[in-house]
Amino acid sequence: MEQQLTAFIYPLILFFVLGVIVPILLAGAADKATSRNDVDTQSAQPAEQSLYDQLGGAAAIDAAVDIFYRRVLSDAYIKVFFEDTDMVRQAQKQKAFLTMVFGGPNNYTGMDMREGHKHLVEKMGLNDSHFEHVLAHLRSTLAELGVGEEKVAEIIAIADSVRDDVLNR
Amino acid sequence: MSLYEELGGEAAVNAAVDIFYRRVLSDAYVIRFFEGVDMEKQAAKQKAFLTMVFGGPNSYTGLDMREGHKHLVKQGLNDSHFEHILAHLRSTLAELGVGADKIQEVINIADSVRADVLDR
Repeated sequence: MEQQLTAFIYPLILFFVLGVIVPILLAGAADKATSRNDVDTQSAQPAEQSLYDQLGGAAAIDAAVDIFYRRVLSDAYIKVFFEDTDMVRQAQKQKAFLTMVFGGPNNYTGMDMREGHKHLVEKMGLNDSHFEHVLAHLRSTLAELGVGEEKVAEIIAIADSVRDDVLNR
Repeated sequence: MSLYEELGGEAAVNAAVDIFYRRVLSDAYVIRFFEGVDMEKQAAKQKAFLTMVFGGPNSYTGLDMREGHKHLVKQGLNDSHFEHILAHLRSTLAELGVGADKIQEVINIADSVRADVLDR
């Protein structure tokens, strides 16, 4: 059971941080390309800046991971799904994974999400309400980091797109 | 026994208010709607709200909810913020040891005021 939980938690956490980070980066890229002309003229290659750099690099990822973990683990409604998980190792793997993702293609698939959560849906009752909590913690994390509500909504839309995979339906 | 009594009555509401309030005010996504609010009055309102969702004696009216939040809707209050409040309510109840079935009953009552709160 512990191994199953651990195997589930990695993809869950990884996904949600991806759900945070990637959309921020995409939204940031769109803003820079369309409306930040003042910045463009001062910067050599703003449109070519990597998504990872636009977000704020490793520091921003660390900040998001820390806030998100703190929030999730202090939520009595969902922390049962994270019990027996080594969160220190979890965080390390997550950060490494994110660095890899921002440097190259990611191999995440809906099937990973579906398989990774299936036992939680079947044996522990994982449902929409728990998914909503994780989305809420994502919004709160992004707001705490100063991300505007429009970008938050874009990020949440992407995160929400895997709901059916996570809930195995 | 009513839901309110099953949950522990007024003592449970008082315990819930403290946890709920702490959670809401530490949520950067919704805190802007509480800025400039008289916190003593707000605590009384939260107690009234929780009494209502616990199924206890209350003087709740949809019109109160609608009028009380109308200016916030103009500031962008929407379903996502409402979902945060529901989430904080679930978390509060779970922290107090309330079971999933009872939590769902409470959430159903809370969710019934959504259209009033969001003025639609």
